[in-house]
Amino acid sequence: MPGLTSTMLMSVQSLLADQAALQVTSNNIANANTPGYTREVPVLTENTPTVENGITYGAGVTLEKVQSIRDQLLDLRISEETQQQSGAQAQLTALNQVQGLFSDSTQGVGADMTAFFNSLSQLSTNPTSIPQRQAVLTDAQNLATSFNQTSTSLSNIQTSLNLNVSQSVDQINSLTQQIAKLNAQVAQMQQLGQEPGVIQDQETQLVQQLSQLTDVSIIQTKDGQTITTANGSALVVGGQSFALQAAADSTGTEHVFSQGQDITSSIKNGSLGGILQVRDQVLPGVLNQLDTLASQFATAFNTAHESGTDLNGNAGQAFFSSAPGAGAAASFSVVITDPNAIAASSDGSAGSNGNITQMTAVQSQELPSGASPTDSFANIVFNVGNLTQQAQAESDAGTASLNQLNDQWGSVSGVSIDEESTNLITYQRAFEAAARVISTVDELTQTVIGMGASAAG
Amino acid sequence: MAEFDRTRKQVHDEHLARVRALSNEVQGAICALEKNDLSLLEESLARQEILCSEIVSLRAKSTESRLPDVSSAAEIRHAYMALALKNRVCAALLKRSDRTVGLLSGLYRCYGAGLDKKSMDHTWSCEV
Repeated sequence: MPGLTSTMLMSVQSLLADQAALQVTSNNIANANTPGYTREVPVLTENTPTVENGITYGAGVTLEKVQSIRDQLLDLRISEETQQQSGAQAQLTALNQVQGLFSDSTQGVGADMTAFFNSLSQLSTNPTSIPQRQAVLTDAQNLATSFNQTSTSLSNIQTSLNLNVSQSVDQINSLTQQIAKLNAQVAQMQQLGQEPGVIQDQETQLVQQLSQLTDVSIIQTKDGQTITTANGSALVVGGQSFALQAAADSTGTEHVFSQGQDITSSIKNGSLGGILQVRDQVLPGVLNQLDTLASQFATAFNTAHESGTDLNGNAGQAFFSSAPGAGAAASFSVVITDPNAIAASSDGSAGSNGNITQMTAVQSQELPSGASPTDSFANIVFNVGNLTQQAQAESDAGTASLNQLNDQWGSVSGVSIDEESTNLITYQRAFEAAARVISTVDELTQTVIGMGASAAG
Repeated sequence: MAEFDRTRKQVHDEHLARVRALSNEVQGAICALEKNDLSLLEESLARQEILCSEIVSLRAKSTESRLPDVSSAAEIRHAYMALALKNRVCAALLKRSDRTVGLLSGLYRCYGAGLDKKSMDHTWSCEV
């Protein structure tokens, strides 16, 4: 049968275990509002019992470890969702800038095109009027300026997104270095049988930050987390990080390389993915549509203009100039500077307005692209609006989904003050009870000593 | 004529109110999904079903009686556009929730795979 001393030792172990549990609880309470903190629980285990004379006696309690409560599936989903949401948000921010170029119906290419054709219609009422002719040229110049400015603004947005690429790559490299260091610490602590909860919390926070920047795949291994890019190139393996490189091609477009391989086109999510999507897919598409419109409109209008005769009796010349293909909108300009050179006449007489009908018909005439100039521009506006709305929906859904997942994460890994307060009382009572056992054993020991003294006396 | 105009206006107002209510209900469903509140989601879906059938009949009436004026047409168009955007968000959120559910069911399939020899080589981590 165990003696008083072993009971005393058992109570001391109990005191220590309850004290540690109280410390864990108070640490949870202290970190209740710390971002990324994962709730910890004391894992108490029963000591190996002792057997004396065929009777098994319990041997008290030991604090085995302090364990962080985490759900890898939720961490994974939060990382995935963060990547998608950040990508959609980056796209939305860039697309809002693009939409700003097309959303104002009172100015820009659409409004200036309408104003130009209105001027032409007014000229048809008095084709010899120099002020009316000058007004046509002024509106033509406004239209050209709008084409130029829209194209330049789109290119400026592209340039600004391009600058963000190298900044994002630098941030990614900084984060992967930090994660690799923490990975090494986690592996070391695990080898020593220590619980790396706090380090893992920091690592999870960094991985979430990394997920905001780019799309990554995360695999848990015995050496910590292995993180790769979407196409499988290593970013972090154990304690080693692999840096991405940003390098510009001959056109100045920044590309992302991983160990010598160009991975730009495979980055779809995270803010870097969103930036690349807009820079490489959306903006070239919009610029191409604008260039096509500028080029085909100039050709169609020039054809109509060249079929008439100007005020001096000369055959009409090209009205607009535009480089074919890429850069058409940027180079769009008005060739004619003399109001007399507008070829309004269809029969060579100064008072004829026959050719103005031909020229105004261009507004609703189908271009080689399959739509009239007005409809072509409306299509661009619609496409940009649709892409912006899609990005807005994806961003909103991503935010809601992240809230949903964070809510679930909170119920698993978050600190509940109510629960911790209850635990505090439970461990306090257990501590008091263990202390009471010690004082009882102490009294019993005094009694035994007293018995010995009286027997000796 | 005045009676006809009044009816037209009434149909339009009801139509607009139902579309806006449906938009609010879709937003309610989004909030329910966000809070993981199944009962709230089911209630919202039931209300959406009722509103949808009401809108279908109001749309038919609305087409028969034509819209009272241009601004009414614009109001209806804006309400439908707002509804479309909410629907897009809700659809995208459901798609994302489906991914979480897919991963969870994969996890439970893995735990239940002890009885199924064939499933042993197909683990949760493979699904992840």
